[in-house]
Order: sequence, then C-alpha cells, then structure tokens
Amino acid sequence: MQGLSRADLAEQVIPSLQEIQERLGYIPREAITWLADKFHLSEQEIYGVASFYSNFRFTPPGKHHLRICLGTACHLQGGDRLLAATSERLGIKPGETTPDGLYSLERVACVGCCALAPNIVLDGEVFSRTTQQSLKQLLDSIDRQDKGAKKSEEGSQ
Amino acid sequence: MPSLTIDGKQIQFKEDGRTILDVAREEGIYIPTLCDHPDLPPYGGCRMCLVEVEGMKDFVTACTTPAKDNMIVNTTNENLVKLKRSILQLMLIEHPSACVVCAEWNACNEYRSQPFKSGLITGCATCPNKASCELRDVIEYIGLDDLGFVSRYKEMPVEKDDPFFDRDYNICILCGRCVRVCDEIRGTGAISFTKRGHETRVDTAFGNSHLDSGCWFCGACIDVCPTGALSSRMMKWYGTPDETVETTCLLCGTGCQIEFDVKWDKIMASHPGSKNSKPNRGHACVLGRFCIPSLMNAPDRLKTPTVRRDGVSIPVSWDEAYERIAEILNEAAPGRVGFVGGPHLTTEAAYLLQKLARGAIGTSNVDFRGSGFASLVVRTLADTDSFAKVGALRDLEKADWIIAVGGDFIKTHQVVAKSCYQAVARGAPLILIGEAGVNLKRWATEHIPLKAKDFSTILSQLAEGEEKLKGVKKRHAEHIKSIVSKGNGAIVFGSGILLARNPGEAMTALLKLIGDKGRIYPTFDYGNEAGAMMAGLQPDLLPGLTSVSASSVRGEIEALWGKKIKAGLSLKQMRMAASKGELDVLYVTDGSLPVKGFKKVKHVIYQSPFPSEWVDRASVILPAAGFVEDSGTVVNMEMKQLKLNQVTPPIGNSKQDWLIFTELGRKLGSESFKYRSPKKVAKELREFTKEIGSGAIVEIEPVRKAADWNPVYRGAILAERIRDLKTFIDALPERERPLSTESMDDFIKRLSEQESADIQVKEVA
Repeated sequence: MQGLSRADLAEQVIPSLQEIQERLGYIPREAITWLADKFHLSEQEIYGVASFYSNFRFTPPGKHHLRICLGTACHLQGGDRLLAATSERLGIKPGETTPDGLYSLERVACVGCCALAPNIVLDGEVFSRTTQQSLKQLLDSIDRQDKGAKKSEEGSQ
Repeated sequence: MPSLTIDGKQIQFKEDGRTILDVAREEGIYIPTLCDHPDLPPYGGCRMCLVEVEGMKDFVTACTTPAKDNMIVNTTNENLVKLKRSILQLMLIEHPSACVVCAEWNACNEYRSQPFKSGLITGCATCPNKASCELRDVIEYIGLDDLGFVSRYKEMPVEKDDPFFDRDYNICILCGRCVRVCDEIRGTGAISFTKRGHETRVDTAFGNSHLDSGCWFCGACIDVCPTGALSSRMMKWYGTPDETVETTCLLCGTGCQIEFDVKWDKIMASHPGSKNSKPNRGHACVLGRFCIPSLMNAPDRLKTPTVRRDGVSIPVSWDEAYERIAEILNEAAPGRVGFVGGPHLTTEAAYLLQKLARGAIGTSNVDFRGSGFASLVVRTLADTDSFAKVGALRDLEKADWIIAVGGDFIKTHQVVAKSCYQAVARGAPLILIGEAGVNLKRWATEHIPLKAKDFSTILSQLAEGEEKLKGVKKRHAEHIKSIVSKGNGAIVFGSGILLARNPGEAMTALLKLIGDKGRIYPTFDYGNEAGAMMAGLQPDLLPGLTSVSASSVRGEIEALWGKKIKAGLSLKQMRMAASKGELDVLYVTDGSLPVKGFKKVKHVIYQSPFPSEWVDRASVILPAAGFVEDSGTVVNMEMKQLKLNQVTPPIGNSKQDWLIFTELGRKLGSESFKYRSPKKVAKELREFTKEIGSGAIVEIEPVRKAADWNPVYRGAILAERIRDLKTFIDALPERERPLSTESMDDFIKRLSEQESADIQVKEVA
C-alpha cells in the first residue's frame, strides 16, 4: 500500500470489510487487526466502522442462515412474533449463531416483497406469507434433512 | 473590512474562513457549545451553537458556517432557544445525573466543594465533575428547569480496570470530543464510536481494555470531556482547589507547562497548562498528567537532614548537617572530591553546584548523571554555532517532512509525538529510521528498520546525497531522497543515537542534512539536560559552555572565585578513581546514579527529595525540595529557557537545592554565596553566557545497550511508586509487533485453514 495517502487508504476500509465477509462469512477479530495494519489505522477506527453497519457480523454464520424481516409491512403482519418464536426455538438472539453452528439468526429491515408479508429468508431463499406454523414446519424439515444427511454420511463410512 | 451583525451588534472581521462562532467569541458573545473544542476542527454535532442567519434556510450551526460580509445573525430568537431546549432535553435522556432537577441545585452551585453536598439520590456522588462542568454551564445558559423526558439509565458498569482513569459511560453525551482528540490530535485512535443508534457508545474494538487498544494514557480525552464521564481516578473527590499554579514539568526534556490544583498546601491534581502555554499548549503525557501528585506526595520523601554517627543516621538541624559536610570536605584533598549533579536540577542549582566545587573546594570533578546525549547535542551545537537550528514544537507541526531516529518518542515524549502527528496528518511524510513503536510505524511513509549502530552510516549517506542508502531498496531510497530534497525538514532524534557506531558523525550528518531552513528536535530524556550543560556542570566546561582551556575566560573566573581551575574528572573517570580508592568524598544530588563502582568512597553526601540506595551509604543526607516546590529556570529540548514556579512549600524540613548550595557555600567560607533568590543566581550566570566560547568537542563514545523507558526522578523510579504506571509500562512490549504485510488472499487462506483446523479439533473432542 506504499504511495497511497491516508485518505485513499481509509476509503478502502468498507470494500475490504465486504470482501472479507463475503469470503469468510463474517469479520473475525484478526481481520480487524490485519486491516488496521494494512490501512495504517487503529483497530478502533476499523471496528467503529464495521460495528456501525448491521450488515457486518463478528460471529461466524451458521450452516443455515435465517433472516426475518421486520420492515413495516412484515412487522404489521406479525414479523416480530415470528422472530420471538424463532429466537426461543433456537435459543439465540438476533445476530447470534447456535452453539452447534447450525443456525444463525438475523433481523433485517426489508427483503423487497412487502406485498407478501411477513417474509423470511432461509439460506438465500425467500419464504412469503409465513406463519408460525409454516416456519415451524420449515425448520423441522431442515432438521430432518440434516439428520438424514448425517446418518447417510455415517452409513457410508 | 467586512462586517456582520450579531444580536444587533456590528462586528468587523477578517474574512479568512473563520466561522460565525469564531467571530462571536472574539467579540465576547457567548454561544453555547458542547462538541466544539479549540483544538479540534468544527464538527457540528451537538447543535447547541445553532443561530439564525437572515436569508439562510433553517437555523445553521455557528461552528461550521463561515462568517460572510453583511450577515445578520441572531442567537437569541425565541424559537431558536426553544429548539435548543428540546435538543438538550433529548440529550439529557441519556445523562441520568442531570443536576438540573436537583433540589440542592442552588446550594450546590454555591458550595460545590464536596462531592457529597447533594444526596446520593441525585447521582452527584457518581459524577466527579464538580468544580467545572461544561454541560452544566450550557444547561444554565439555555435555561432548563425540566428534563421533559424520563431519563434512561444505560446500566453500564463504571470501567475501572484500566490504569489511571475511570470511565462512566452512563453519563456520556456522545459529543465525540474524546474520540476526535485521540484520533485527530494525538494520532492514536484508542477509542472510537461503536455500534449505532441507541447502542452507540465510545469504546475500543471488541470492548478490549485500553491497555490492549493502544492507549498511551496521555489524558487528552479527560481534558476535553465536557461531562464527568471520564475522570482521573487519583484526582477526583478532593473538591474545589484553593489555588491553581502552572509550572514546568521536569520528568522529561519537553518542558511542558503543567497546572497543579493545590489544596491544604498539597498538590491534589495535575492537568496540562493553558492552551497558550508553550511548548505543550494544553497537552500532556502519562507522566505529567497522572504521576506528579503521587510522586511529590510520596510518604517516603526525605524530610529531615541526617548525619551518620557511629553507623547510625541521626536527624539533625540544617546547621549541624552543613558543619559536618564542611568538616568532611575540608579534610579531603580537593582532587579527591567529586560532585555529581543530575539532569533534574534547575539551571541555577546546577550552576551553584559547580561553583561550589570549583569556587569553594577547588576541583572540577563535576558531571551529571545521564549527560551523554546532552553532551553530544549541546557541544556539537556550540561548536558549529547552530543553536538556531533547534526548532520549537510549533515549527515541528508545520514541517514539510520529518525524519525520526533513535527513539520511540510516542512512548517517552508523547507531546513531541503529538506535534509530529499534526505534521503527518497535514500530509508531511515521516521517515522512520530504526525500530520504533506501533504509532510511529503507522504514521510512517517509509520505515527503515535499521540496526542502531548503522544510524551514523545512513544519516551520512543522506546528508551527502549518496546514491545508495544502507539497508534500503533502490526504489525506496529514491523516494526517501526525493522527500528530503525539498521543503523545510524536521529531524526528531533521541538518545538512541548514542548507539550509533559513531554518534558524533551521526550528529554532524543530521545537522548537514537539515540545512539552514530545517529544524532539529533533540528529545532529551530528562528535565534540564541542556541547562545543566550551560551551567557548566561538566568537568571540562565552564558556565556558558566555555572550555576550561580557554585561558582568558578561565582567568576571569579564577580571579572572581579565587581558586585555580583546571579540567576535572568526568563521571566515568570519577567511578574509575573511586574503584581504585582514589576518591574520598562524593557529593551526589541524583539518587538515580547507580552506586556500583563507588563503594570505596569514604564519605557520601546525598541530597535528594527521594531515598535511594545511596541513603545506606551516606554520611550526610540533605532533603531537597521536589521540582514543584522549587523555583528557577530550566532549558528544554527547544533550547528555550522555561520558568519553574513554586507550587507548594517544600515538604517537611526540606529545602530547595539552590538554597542548600548557597548556605553550604557560605558555611565553607566562600563570600560570594549570598544569593537571596534563584533570580540572583540566574543574573550571575547570565554574565557568563554573554559570550559563548568554543565548547571543546570531546569524543562521544557509543553506548552498547539502549535504555528501556524507565522514567526516574532523582532516585525515585516512578514505575515502582505508581502502580498504574507499572501496569502500563509492563503492557507496552505486547504492542510492539511488526505491521502485517500479508496480502488479502494469504490472510483469507490462513484464516480459513485455521478455522477448519479448529472445527476438526472440536469434532474430535
């Protein structure tokens, strides 16, 4: 990074954070230190930026990443209750990952299909007009799939 | 001249980008502010300085709006005040200690002398901001008698785990001054705003301790905090001080002006001096900000003169002590007596010590501990007549380029580092030669991690404009040379330069490299090294840096003092003589001098504010006043004379050094010791400095090992006395790591591998 001014370097902080999150799924502690060294800034300056944006996470995402929308329409249609129920089922708060690393939960502000509220996004796939019932079934089926996959893996060994 | 109107008052001003707030302040019109601070660029965050400007849409912040000709400004519009009141109420939701609603408000204003004036219920017992609170001033001005909203207590524990200061973020109003001063002024960035919205707070990365976040504990954040959120742990709860006195700090060579709060004739607290006090202009370091009260109020300070009789130290009167000293000195042959001063003596005291040796005893065996670096710098400057090349810290902030060599001054001279960072922040390239800490590495444009012994080589190569630079690749060498070829440079160098193969060559080279317009900045490690040199506290130099061999000046002094003068023994030679049993008496005024090598000396006279290993060997102990109890002058790293103002009376039965030397001189029968104040001494010394003769250059030998940063003051090792300082210094090696040079791909690869390894371990477990 020789020859770049401090302002030039500072401009690259957010794109670099995005790249790290894209490739690792989250921003590990070491990444903050590494970026600070790289951009001749302090760790605090990097962390201040990263913690400002809810898009950046500091814990590794679970195998299944569940996003629950609490935008205006989804909120009115019961998104908050979906979030509370899921939070209870998984035993984690939004932004956290279950200890077994299977699920991570996130609250988002809009996924772009308010007419079909309430929406959730599981592993990149949008599920609309979700009810507590349908969400429970969805998570149950995921659990079953995971168990089956594990069994067949063990069986093949 | 352009003019504007504020609240009906016509004001002329210079249109040079100054803001409405600046103009109002110059005119003495008060506009309330919270996020604004004279050190910091305009921020426009707190909205307290909102004003109405005719022709402008909405209200504008006075701190960010440049003043223009014919502006009509109103600061007291009713809607405006109403708006400010609401903003203030919103702000106070998160400041639950708001004294505005307290029933004791009036009484508290009047007698704000004890923190417990108001009951615990009001929360005042948790807010240390008593004698002055900017938030409170603003509330009073805007006039708020109702909080308006229910306050929200954030329930964050007061952070007390780090050394020196407590942080109560429950009463933080997020003005951002601390974050900005740490980042933009000191260049450290140890704290930052984290998260956002209601969760926003000032914090370190991942809530690490301040020791881990790279904090230098300079205290700048406390000094700018407008509330009681940040406070010095040792300096709260003492109430309103009786008086405040500003004096020069002698703990390093910067010569900072420090302001002391005095109560009951004791120092209760220290802060950096006023914004206008040079050289530090309202900034300080960990030593000046936090350590002086504990040091000076130490219970083990020497308080009474003692004389050793039959192996036992017995307290005596000053007169008896002087008599015993006279006895000891009169018994010994002058050539077998040595006088060791210290870099913490005032110039006047240093002058009197050498006058005592030369004029009253008749020996030039005078030197001071830690004189190596000062000797190199001051002698070279005198010999080349280049004192004008030594810059003031203000100039350092304006330098076009900076070379830093021979010291990690972010650690040892934090105020110098601040000035250096100001230049870097303005875009001046910093070339770092040799090893240094993380801040300097982060600021550096080019870092040459050269071994210290090669300093003289690379500086000569740079000065001579040679093609190649030692240990530097061609591309970088060209870059460095292009940097130093233009503009006014600055070279900041420390005592690490003595590690060079040839320190004299290094010193000459950097004087050549800096040219006529550039400036050098020798970071002396102790308070008055240069002053001690100029006072003649050297075996071969007379006062005024004149060589003992300059016969005309010597003749005059000999006639004046009535003793023959010839060059004496240096400290090193005294130690050699002592180890051979050829030194009978040693007069030590700096307890930090190691006893090693002096064990065979028959009589030791020890004069210091603090006990040290010398106490057990001393025949006579004289308790000296600390620097806050003394007056006189010192010479700082800018080669400027700075005044010491007496802050408190000398502790116990101790006396100022100049007074001790004066009284002792008279006891020894020397008529000329009749000074009634340090001013009289200074006047006599000035006679000598009128014509500076050639200071004979002695060969400065390189030293082998760099001294670790271990602040001392006349026998007191600060880290041993102040636990917080020890915690801080002990944590420093942790942060000395090289900056990572890994590429993004390598970094991601390493981390992914590490992660999958972690997962495997987990699964096996």
